[in-house]
Amino acid sequence: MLQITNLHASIDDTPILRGIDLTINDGEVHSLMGPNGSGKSTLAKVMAGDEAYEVTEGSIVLNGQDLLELDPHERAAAGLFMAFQYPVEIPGVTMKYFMRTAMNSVRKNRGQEELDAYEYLSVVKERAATVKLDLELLDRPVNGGFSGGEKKRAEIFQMAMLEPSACVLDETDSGLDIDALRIVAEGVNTMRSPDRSFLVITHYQRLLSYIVPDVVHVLVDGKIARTGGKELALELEEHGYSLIEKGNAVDA
Amino acid sequence: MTAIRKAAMNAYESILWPSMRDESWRYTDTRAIAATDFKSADPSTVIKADSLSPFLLDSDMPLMVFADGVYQPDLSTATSMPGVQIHRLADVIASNPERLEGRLASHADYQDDPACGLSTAMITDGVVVEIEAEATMETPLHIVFFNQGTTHPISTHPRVLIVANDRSTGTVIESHVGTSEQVILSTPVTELIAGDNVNLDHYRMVREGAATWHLGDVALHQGARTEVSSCVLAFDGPLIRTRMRGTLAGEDGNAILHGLAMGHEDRHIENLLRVNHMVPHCRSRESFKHILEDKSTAAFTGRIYVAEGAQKTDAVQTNRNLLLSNTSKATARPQLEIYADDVKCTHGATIGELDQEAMFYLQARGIPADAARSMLVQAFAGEILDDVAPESLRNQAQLLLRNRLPAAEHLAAME
Repeated sequence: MLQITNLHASIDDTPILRGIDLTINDGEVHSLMGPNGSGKSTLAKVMAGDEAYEVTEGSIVLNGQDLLELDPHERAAAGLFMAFQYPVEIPGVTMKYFMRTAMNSVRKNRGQEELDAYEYLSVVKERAATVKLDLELLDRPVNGGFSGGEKKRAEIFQMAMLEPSACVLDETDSGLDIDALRIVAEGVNTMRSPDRSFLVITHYQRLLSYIVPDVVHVLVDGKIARTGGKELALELEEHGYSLIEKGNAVDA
Repeated sequence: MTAIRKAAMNAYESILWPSMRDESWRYTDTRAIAATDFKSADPSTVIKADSLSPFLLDSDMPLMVFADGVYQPDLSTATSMPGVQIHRLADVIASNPERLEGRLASHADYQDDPACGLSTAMITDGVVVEIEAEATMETPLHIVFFNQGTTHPISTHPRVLIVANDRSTGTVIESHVGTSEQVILSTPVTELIAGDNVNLDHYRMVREGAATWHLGDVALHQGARTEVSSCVLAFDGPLIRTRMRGTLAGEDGNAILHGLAMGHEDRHIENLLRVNHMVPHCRSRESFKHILEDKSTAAFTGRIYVAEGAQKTDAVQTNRNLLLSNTSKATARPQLEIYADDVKCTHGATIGELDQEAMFYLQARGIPADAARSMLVQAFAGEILDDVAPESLRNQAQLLLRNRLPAAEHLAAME
């Protein structure tokens, strides 16, 4: 279970998150929608441990562990995975070397045995197939010269490799055409399981036609302004965020 | 020979060790060197095979070994092979000095540099390699200059001359190594002279002892349609200064000059590079990278010179410095001197820290911060090390780098 309580965070003394409460039970898929600048990506980065943001109040607890007490790499070992909106290109480090180092580190931290070369390769092949990732990409530098679709597929591949219990997808749909979107969504759907939860961050409803959420939250001005079922996404698609933003302004 | 030694001694005595006000020595303090009374090494110096083994490469690589500049016949395995003559410089000076005329000390300029001047004045021994026309060296020659010193400071002047005749191919690796803490001054000078249609690769690995000042020269002169590469890998030594001079004297030549240096504690690294494009249609690529920790410092001066008439010159020079501490320091002085109007010359220099976005990305995937940092440093060095062709040398350099980095145990085995 992932539980976020009264989370406040700021960057350079400017508050971005102003008290977020969010609980995702195992096996559930929640979607976080909201207008630009509402703090969606900030929430993802704060969860992953980006030092650029300062958490001023609140907690993020995953399966009983307070993530805010942990370094970014320990959060990954604790079961958190954040798929980046803009995956970083790292010249000189091959995908293969990166993934193997990441996998070994995470397994070590979880008290699991390292995989031998043969086991590792068979896991790579199996997980790459779920997002139709060309194995040749693994010989290239991390995200180096990847197309937008390849980058996002590589993120989902990494997610599959690291077997997290909570997955945060930060605008994974941005910059994807419909075919790439479908492949990424299928990859995510094959990973859905009763002991794994998802937070799908998106600006648009279209991704949610492929990854159908159990719960939809709308973030406005650093707070969750509305929560509903999957039909809320369709409602927003039709009327835009202005309705909620106005409503929120009235509440305030 | 006597004339060269004399001219070099005159040059040395007229310059001596310049102060830091001298433009070429602005970044290297030679006061301690100037104040030291060096003696020559004892000609009966010997070393044991055990001391050498950590520095060796493939067991089947022919070896020439010197200890404090003194030839070690028991440890040297290289002999001349078909098409490739390998000799001690002292033997050639004694028996065929005419073979050195117009070659030895003809490209490493001793007139304006005290280290090269002293080295040339003190020429005694070293290695002469001549690859005959059409010949191919089957395996690289490995020349090891092991410096151990003694109770009083010594100076040693390793000398290498490589002549590659037309249409020949070869690789020579030098290792300048030591583990002793005795005070030593080493001034190695290597000259590579390549004819036309030659492929010649040269590497210099520097792993000197804690009190060995290393002031070296590499000078290349190449003919038409010839590709020469030289790469200096500087890992250990309190002061490693290398002057590298490349001259492209034949059309359609290609010169590849690389350097990788890793500094820690209060070590100082200096690379002075000059590439002379004398004729049209030549290409040169110069890439020097410095990784600096603790209070280490590095200085790079690189000049691309394009002579009048050397049209269609294509030269790219880069110097990248990675500062891993707040107290390390780098200086870069890229310079162009161009007297032709139809050329493509670029230079770039950067001084920076590790990419924080990349650091966060690696950590978010479960890699601890120190291992993430090590991976990024490996990646930075990789751009030079990936081009080191002899596998055993590349592996040795990668291992040296890796063992210097924190959290090596977290890094997956290199594939």
